[in-house]
Amino acid sequence: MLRLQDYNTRVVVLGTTLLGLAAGVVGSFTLLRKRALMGDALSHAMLPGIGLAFMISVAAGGTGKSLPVLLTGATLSGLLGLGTVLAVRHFTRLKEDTALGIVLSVYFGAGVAVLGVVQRMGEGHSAGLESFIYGKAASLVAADTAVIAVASALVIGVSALLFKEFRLLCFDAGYAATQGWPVVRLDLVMMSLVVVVTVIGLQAVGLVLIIALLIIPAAAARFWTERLRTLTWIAAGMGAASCAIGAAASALLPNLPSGAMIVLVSTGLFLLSLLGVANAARFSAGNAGARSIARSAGNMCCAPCTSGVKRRRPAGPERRRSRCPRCPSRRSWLAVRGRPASSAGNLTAPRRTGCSSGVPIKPWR
Amino acid sequence: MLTLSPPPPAATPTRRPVLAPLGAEHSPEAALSIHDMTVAYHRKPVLWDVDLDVPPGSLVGIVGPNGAGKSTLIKAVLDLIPRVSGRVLVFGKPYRQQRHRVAYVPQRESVDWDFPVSALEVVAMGLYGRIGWFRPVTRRHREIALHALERVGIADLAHRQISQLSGGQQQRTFLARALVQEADLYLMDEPFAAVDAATEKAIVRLLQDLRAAGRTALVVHHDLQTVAEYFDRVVLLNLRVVASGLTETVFTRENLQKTYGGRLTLMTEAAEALARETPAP
Repeated sequence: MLRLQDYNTRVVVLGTTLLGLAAGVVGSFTLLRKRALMGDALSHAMLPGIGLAFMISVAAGGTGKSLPVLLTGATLSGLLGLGTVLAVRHFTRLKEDTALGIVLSVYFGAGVAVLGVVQRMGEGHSAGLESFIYGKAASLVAADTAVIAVASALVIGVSALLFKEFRLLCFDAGYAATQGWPVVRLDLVMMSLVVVVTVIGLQAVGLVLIIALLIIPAAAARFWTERLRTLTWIAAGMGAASCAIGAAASALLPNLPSGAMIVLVSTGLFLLSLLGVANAARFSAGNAGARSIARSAGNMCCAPCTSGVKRRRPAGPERRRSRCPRCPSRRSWLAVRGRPASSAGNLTAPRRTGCSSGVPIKPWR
Repeated sequence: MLTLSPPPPAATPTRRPVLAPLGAEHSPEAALSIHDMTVAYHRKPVLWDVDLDVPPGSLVGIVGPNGAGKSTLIKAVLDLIPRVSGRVLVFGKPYRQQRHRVAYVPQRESVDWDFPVSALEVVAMGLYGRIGWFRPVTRRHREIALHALERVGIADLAHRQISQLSGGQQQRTFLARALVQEADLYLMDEPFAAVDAATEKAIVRLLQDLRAAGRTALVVHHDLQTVAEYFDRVVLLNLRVVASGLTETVFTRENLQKTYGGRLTLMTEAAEALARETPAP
């Protein structure tokens, strides 16, 4: 039985956490580029490559268990699968979802067949290959974690460097093209980052479930923020947290596959985000609606701050429910820090300005 | 070989824009000159043999029925859609060399307005080309963007997430994004589509400011009633250029009939518009 203090457990948890970090970052961009399922086709297409790489390696006299060889095979066949998707989309009238479905199932089926053949080769060493399907974080050793660390650093570094370019690409690719940005090449860079994340995630999470790490943290993060930068941070944090907790749980409890645990934990975080933010969203939608009503009526209780200073979100439940000091509404009000554009610098303390209610102004009582 | 439905009877293949007589050289100082451009989607031609000169400092409306290829014209000029044939020159040089002098305002529906960015960040995207690879958006860039939002009258909404803007405000955001590019030629795809009256006025004022500053704007427009009021020149388009030139000479009942064919409601609308234009000085 493993314990959290064990060196091996730490290696495993550290490796998967770094993986989750990178996956969250890349996932934010692919989700917004609406390419989330590309990663799924890519990872499923990796299976035949793993089997073939094993066969070739055995035929060449090796044990077939060399990780770099297997991952190279996985990468090549994953890219081939991606190429097939693009080819089907480009040369036929089929739409992208159809192309993805075809490639995903055909390659995965081929992979299962290849693994069957491998098993009948009687080499006896092929037993570990299935762990690439569902993931086995416990098999990570220090060297693997080091590779994951380097790859994650690379992925996060490239994303940080190209943050502005990716934002433009995801939001409005056509407009990006008119400015002379190489849209196709940027897309290729983004897909390469997905490839890197998928390859380093094969061992820990497995090729069936790695897509969850690319989608769920980013989707959950979307509930919490309206800023891309914050979204990327939150997605990275959620990815890392779900990997850490999932891998630890899988290591500590018997018979729990790590990939499944990681997905379940990230889904839990997603549900928390969904439920937690349902309230907040109702709250802020109420505000926006009330503010616009008030503005159109021309008798806004208090003007919204135009200074460009960031609005501070109400911190606690008591704030949300407190009464506006200037009108009879029981609705919430927002605290705004900074000075309104009209008044010159005589305000240093936070000022309450944004009443959310559309109620006409009543004089002070 | 392309298979074609027969061309609309009014537009014979040899027809040329009214003010650009057959065989005329394209003037080198034109803001935009399109020469014999043909565009096809999946082997089905959507623009035939477009020949067009836009003099600098003019406001040009592109008018035509649905599916006439108005948006396609703009996208083909911008290389967003491949051209089957033809040449496009922007201020005398190929578009690729003149990108920095051209600003594009896409249709509002072309993007996902749920995207997690604020209006200010969208406007700042207009500066990305100037900022260059890898460098972040700085405070100075945000100030430029805020100034552009002021010009379109929604500076107070700068920090709103874009889905919380009304349609008109979203359109203004797109216009501000084009403004910060400080281009000489603006290509706008339906900027007046489904906007409120205040926004429409603001856009018109903006177009007039641009013209006063010597800039050129090519605007896809769908409202025949306001064409004469808003634009100096007009291009009547229905797969081909039916007519193009100064609004007062080209925007005639006869040309509209050729452009719109037998669509009676539209014709009545146009007739009303013309009737209202006639008594004006």
